[in-house]
Amino acid sequence: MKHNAIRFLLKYARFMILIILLIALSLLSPAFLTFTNIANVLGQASLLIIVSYGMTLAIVTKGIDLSIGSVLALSSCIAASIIKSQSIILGIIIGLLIGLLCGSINGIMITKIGLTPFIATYGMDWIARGLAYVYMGGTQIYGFDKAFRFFGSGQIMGIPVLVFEVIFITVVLCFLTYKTTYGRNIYATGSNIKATRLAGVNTDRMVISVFALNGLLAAIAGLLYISRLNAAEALIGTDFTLNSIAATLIGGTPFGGGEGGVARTVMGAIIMTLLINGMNLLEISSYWQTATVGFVILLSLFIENTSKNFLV
Amino acid sequence: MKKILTLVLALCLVILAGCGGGSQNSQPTQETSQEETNSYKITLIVKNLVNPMWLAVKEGAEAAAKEYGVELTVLAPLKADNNEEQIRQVEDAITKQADAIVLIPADSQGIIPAVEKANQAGIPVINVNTKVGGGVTETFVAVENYDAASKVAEAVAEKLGQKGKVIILEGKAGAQSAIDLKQGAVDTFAKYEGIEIVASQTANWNRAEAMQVTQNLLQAHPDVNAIFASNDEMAMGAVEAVDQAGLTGKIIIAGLDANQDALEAIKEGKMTLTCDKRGFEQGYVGVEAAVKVLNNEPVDDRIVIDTTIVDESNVDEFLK
Amino acid sequence: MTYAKIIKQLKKLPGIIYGLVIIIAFFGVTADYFLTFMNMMNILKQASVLIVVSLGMTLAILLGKIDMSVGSTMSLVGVVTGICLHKGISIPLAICIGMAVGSIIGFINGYLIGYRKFDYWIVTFSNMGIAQSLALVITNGATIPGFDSSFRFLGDGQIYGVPVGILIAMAIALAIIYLSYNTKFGSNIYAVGGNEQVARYSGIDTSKVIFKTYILSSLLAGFAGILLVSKVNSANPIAGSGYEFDAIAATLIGGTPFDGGRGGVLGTIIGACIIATLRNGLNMLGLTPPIQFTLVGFIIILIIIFDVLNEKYKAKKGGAANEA
Repeated sequence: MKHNAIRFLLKYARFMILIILLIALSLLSPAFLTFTNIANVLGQASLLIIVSYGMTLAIVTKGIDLSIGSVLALSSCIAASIIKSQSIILGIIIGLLIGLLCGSINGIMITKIGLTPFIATYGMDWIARGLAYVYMGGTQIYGFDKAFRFFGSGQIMGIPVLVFEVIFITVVLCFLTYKTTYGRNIYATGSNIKATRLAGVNTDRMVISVFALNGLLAAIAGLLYISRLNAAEALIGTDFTLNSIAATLIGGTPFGGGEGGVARTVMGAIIMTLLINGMNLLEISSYWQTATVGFVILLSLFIENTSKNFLV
Repeated sequence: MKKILTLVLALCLVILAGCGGGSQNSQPTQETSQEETNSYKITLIVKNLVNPMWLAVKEGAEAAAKEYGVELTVLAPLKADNNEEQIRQVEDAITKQADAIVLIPADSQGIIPAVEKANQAGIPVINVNTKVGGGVTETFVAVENYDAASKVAEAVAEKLGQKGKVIILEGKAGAQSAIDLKQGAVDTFAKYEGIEIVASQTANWNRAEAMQVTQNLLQAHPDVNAIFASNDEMAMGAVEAVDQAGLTGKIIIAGLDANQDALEAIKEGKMTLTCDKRGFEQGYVGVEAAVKVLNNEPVDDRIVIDTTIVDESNVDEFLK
Repeated sequence: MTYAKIIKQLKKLPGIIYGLVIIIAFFGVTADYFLTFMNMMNILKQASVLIVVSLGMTLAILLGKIDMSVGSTMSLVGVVTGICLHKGISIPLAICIGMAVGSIIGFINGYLIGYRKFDYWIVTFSNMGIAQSLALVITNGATIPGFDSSFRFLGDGQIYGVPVGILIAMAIALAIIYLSYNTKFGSNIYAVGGNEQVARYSGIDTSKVIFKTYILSSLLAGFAGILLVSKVNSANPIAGSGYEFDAIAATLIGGTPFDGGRGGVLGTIIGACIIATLRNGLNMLGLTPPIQFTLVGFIIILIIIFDVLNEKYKAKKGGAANEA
């Protein structure tokens, strides 16, 4: 009973920050609370939300994935060239396969060889980025078909298509992680890998599948990204790694593993995007951007801690 | 067991670096295929190799190297525009006893210690594109970013009829060229009373970020008339944002570098103008000047490379 | 006791040292001018800044935690010191002011993590952003140029052909080696990293140990920032960004795992040298950046795979009885 109350308040804390932010921004900037700007923010947040899901799952299994940005770049660059030269469908399939492959390699390095997730994905970060550079040779691929561009920049009734796609992915992932045995096993693996293994769960397979899923999510984000940007290049996505860690942390998934989850991360990613949007609207120097994100993370931590102490 | 492991690792490394070594070997042979057994060794250090601009410089330098039978090594920081890595690369070039260094510094001030070291080692330094703040350089192949930005800003002001609201998209905070480009634009726009800079934000040279920043700024300033982007990558991001807002043609978008896709966008009427900084010539002239210095031929202190404004009237001449 | 620890540490070294030796041997054969005194000094000089930051990172990781804020602390301390020098403040005082500002970051990290029990990732990650912003704001994004030759001597001078930067890094490294292997504070770090609860029950003030370690880490990061400024003769507000990942990599390559309580700073120094040698060697081969990128990733993973397999082999040999 009391436990539930704490949980409610903890969830509420993030929500409170979001509400305060919304109110403050709409008071400060007349341009903020308009339909186009909200659609704009949601569109911008969607890609961050997708990659942050991957990061969150990795963190739930007590890992981390530093290669997200580079895997995103590699898969989308190769996909882009195929989309331009062959067909859209083939490009999409190959892009997703590359993401899946990179993610699986991460998972295999972590479980079968025993590398820490940090090093395995740090190495993969260098490799995938390097391969993307080699593949592109410093050039860009520009200008896609209308059909392909629809996925990233189309609109349905003024709402970006991206928003619907993100909702779809969110529903799938929420079902997968909260409602299935597979999901429960992911959490179990994160909170106590030895006990979970003893209970008969193939934890290696869990970790590999989570990192494979990560790679897949990165590839999906990459495809939507180039579709939105109408161009592909090797240097895209460098900020995604740190931003997705920040979104996960603001959302309230701790690094201890076995806690948190994708539903919280949505909130984190939207708060992050709102902050940047708000700063742009208010013309606050972008130098303050990283500090603002830092302050908000610390603030949410303070609220969480005080509410915990207050209740216990 | 341990020995076997060591052996396996050693083998892997040798094989790995072997592939790397292979590609390295192929480079000089390609470039020195022109003969000349006693060729000069020249190292070209650029800001990065992810922007088409510097790729063009590299291609120009390689063409000159082929022409003059020079052994050319091209280096760039792994972290784009990283001063410290450039210093290391100058140090490495000194150690390798390069005959000359052609240098495009990412940071005018920060690179000085490296230039001084090259001076001490008696290796001539040819400065290209961004001016080195100190030390001795043989010549400066000048495409001053400040001047180029002024030129673009002037063209924008012209197209605006000398009045309107302008957004500036800056390069990476703290980078030398970003500071120069912004200053050039700000100083030029300040000359026109009717022109107001309503916002100036960084988009880190980056297309995706430029798109996001532009989308946000368009919300705050729906009445903006022109966007000045400090490079074409960011200009292309702005093009996408403006396009998706349905404002194509209503907002003047200017960039610099004359990248291929920017030229195509100008041709399609999505972008207004850019500035050809002639990267190929910069690289070519840089290596050529190095060869002249090594042959004890005279070179000017300053070799100016003309920049050209490219808009719809002359874009066909530039499109490959 | 302490001797035994050093010997244990030395026994742990070989795996990584092989890696370094193989890399050096390889580049020695393939790259001209690689195996010269001048180039070796170059590598050490290029490694010196990384060594100093990595030492602090290693201490944090030995605690079973991490310090993500070191990179931007470097930038912040660098620009503060640079501004002070330009205002005409004497060199020692300017350095002290810079270090004091840096230690504030460490103070906040240490207080929140040690005494308030906040999550270390979140706190240091947030401070990373805050320090980065402060560095950008006080410089307005611009580089602070040119300093006195006496200040530059720190990072760029030479004594008998040996760069001063290396000597300073070595002196700091020796001090930290002594601190971590031979003092009470050092063994407390290992104890807290091994098992925080057990350490608390055995009478160690764990909060204080954590607090002090984070301050030390920020001081080391700050000093690395000053060395960097002196070396490149200019203070750039983003000069340190990315160093946190290199420092973590140096620590992990050096054989200090994330779980804490194991490993040590000696390995980290070798780890930092491996990273610097790799970058230098690849440059000396004249490889293009894309290929360098890919190779750095491959080789780091290979080295770690080797180390992990080596560990597993050792564990199998030594721990067979335990498992049964």
